[in-house]
Amino acid sequence: MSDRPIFWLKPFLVVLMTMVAAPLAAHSTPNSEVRLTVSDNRMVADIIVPQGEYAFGTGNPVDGSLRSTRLAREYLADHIDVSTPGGKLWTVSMGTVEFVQTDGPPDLHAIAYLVPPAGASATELTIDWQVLIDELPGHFALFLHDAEAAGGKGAIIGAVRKDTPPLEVKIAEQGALAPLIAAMGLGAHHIMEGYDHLLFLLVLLLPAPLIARAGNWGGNRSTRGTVVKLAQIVTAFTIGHSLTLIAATFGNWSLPTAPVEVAIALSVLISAMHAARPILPGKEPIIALAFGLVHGLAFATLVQEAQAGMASSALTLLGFNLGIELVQLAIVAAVVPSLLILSRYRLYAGLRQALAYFGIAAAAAWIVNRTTGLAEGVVATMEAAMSHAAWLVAAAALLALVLVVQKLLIGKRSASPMQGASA
Amino acid sequence: MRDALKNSRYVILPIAAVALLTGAEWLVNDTAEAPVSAADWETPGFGPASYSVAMARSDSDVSLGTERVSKGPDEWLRHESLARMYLGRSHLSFTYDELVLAGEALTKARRLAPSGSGPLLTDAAFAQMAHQLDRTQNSLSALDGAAVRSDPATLAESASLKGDVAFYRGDMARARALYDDAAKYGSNAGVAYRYATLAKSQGRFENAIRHFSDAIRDPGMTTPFASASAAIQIGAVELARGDYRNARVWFETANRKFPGFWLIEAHLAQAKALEGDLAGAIIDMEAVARSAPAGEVLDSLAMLLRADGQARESRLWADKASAIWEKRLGQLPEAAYGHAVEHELVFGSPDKALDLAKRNFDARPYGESRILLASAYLSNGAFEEAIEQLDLAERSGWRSVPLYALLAQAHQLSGRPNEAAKARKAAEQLNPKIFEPETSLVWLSHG
Repeated sequence: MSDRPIFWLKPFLVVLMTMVAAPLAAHSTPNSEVRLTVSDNRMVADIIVPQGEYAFGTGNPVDGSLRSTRLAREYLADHIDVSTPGGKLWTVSMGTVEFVQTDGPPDLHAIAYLVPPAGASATELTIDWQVLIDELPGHFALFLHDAEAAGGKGAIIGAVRKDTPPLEVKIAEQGALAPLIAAMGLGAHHIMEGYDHLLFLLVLLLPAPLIARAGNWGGNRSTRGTVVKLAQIVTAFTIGHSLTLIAATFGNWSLPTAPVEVAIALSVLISAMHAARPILPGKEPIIALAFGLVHGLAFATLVQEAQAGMASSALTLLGFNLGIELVQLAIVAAVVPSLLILSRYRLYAGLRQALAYFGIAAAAAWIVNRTTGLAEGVVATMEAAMSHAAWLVAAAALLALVLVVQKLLIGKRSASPMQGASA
Repeated sequence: MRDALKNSRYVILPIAAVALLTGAEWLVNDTAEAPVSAADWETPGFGPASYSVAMARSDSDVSLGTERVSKGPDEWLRHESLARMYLGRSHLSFTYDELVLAGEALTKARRLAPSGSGPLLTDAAFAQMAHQLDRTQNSLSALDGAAVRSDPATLAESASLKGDVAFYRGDMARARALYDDAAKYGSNAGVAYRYATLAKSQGRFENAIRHFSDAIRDPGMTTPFASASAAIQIGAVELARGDYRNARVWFETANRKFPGFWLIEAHLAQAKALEGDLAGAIIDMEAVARSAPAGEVLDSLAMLLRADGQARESRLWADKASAIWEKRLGQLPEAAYGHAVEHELVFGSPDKALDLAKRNFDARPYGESRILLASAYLSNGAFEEAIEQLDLAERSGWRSVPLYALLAQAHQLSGRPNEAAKARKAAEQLNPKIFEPETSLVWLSHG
């Protein structure tokens, strides 16, 4: 072992690592993309081929001249074959063919019209795609179905490259109600991610089985009375948020998001306070209606963000609202039976207080976060806890069931005649 | 008042709790380490301040080393000394020539050295640079059995190199443990670099950046070249996560610290392309390619020309790159395999790419090699084999954007849209821009 000085070693070895750390990975070349849309009993293919890949693979010019577009048109037409699943050929005709640059490097953009033979469906076809496949072994084409009802986002159908078989495409025909159903799904999805909306609804339901007495919640409403109260609350909330959702959407209101979000947090705060102490006894439907108007503004923002032409269609707006309602009704259906049972027991006071306290804390955290940007971690933790609320609902249902069974068993024992040694 | 407070307890308590937690969160965030910033990059302590000065000094060093060897050809220390000069120069060079000469000098030194001694650590370091894991391991084993106990710095570097062997053999856990052993001898730049590489390979980009920054924490032991190298590495991490603007800032920092270095200039040219100036990028990259015709630079230029639709020019430069890779495969095959695979996948033959990828994997069977192999399998239509390699890479702890992007492609081609969507999501979580068109322009430091 040498006794050479070590001082050369450190900087040398640091620099060594720069060579060691040079990354290697599969370099990706840009792929082609084909968006398929069914229109007027034919398929329209919106084609993007990276200009550089096209030029490299074919050797054709890409200068945008008449000759270059003619050659591109001929190349595409020669390398796209479409047939029915049974093998009958479709007609492929090229529309627009141009070299354009939008995002990133320039592309060869083309529109192809794929027309099925007489009697064949326009939604089932086999595409033998050979554009650059032989010339560039690493090249692949991604096929998407461009459905407007799906929010304008393409659903990936498949991909082709060298050695893959022709792509079989089967696009489900959209019924008239498809946009409605898709919008319902979107509405349901958005409300399920809206923890503030859901918490507002939950804390509003908490005191429904109870009667206010001397500034506290004490005494129980009858089952019928509770159900009526709940129906009033849910209906009032629905009317409230539907009014502003429709008005804001069709009126194209452009509202600042931040104040609306703070107002929603405030609605949760007041409702949670009311669940702990009856600050507005008997006025729950009015609270629900008033705050429903605020929540509707937030829903309208969601609809506008979702885009997809939904705002312009009454059917899709209806669908979005229906989706929200369905989720609300599901929550009510899941929670109310347990509330009705548990509210008859002393433990309900503790449960109600705990949830009310949590609601107040969550509302406070949202208000702080939405006004100052602080408390992000606190909000994230609370929302993470809320994402597991289904377990709490299930636990409450189980507890209610246990209590009912226990009561029934006690009742049976009381009703049975005494049996003993002396019988 | 007391009654009012008592009655308001149900509001005050939860709000107070939130206020307390918010305050605690704010305090924690305030004391947390600020993100690494190029603006705060410290001035290095010593060494050549530019590429031309560094090359001139290297010329002088090599000349002196050669003279010493000629005057003492049987002294192994002199051969080792010359090897170190060549190794130092190889970091600046755009060829493998110096690395080859270093290897030859070390082989001579080892032959001349008495048993139980010799240029063992230097040899291990060379072997690591040449991607020769067996040679690295053998030298380190011999070092362990050396008659004279090594000093702490040597022991630290020995542990680090052992960790490298583990890392490139696909055992990330063992690599981490060995790097921790090395760190016990005191924090040093080499260990920081290793931690950074490990973090980056696991998709922990912030950690990687912090460790690269830690590598040059001691300005007294930092040269402009080392400082610039760390800046390039951080820029590479920013590229990996799709922050092209920040990546450029780091490459500019590197250029300020060590101007005239062809590798930095090539990265800056690439950055131009990512900002939409393809024509400007081509001009700059061509200038670099003419002055420092490194295979990677020529490939990068060929790719830019290809993206610009200049097929003929692209093929000309790609052919030149081919010749360079052939030469390098003849000189130091293990070091060249991976780069040559990349070249073949884009500009050459899928069959050859697969053959080279398999050899690359045999030499260094770790996550990145599996990803290259998977890509070569895909190019040859072997989708299931590609998926298998990618799954194995992921199971070994590797977590990178190319892994998931390729997995998405492989699943898509195999008709598994759900798995493809999951892989796409994983890729976009690491780099939201991975599927954008400009990603294909990233040749240098991609992944």
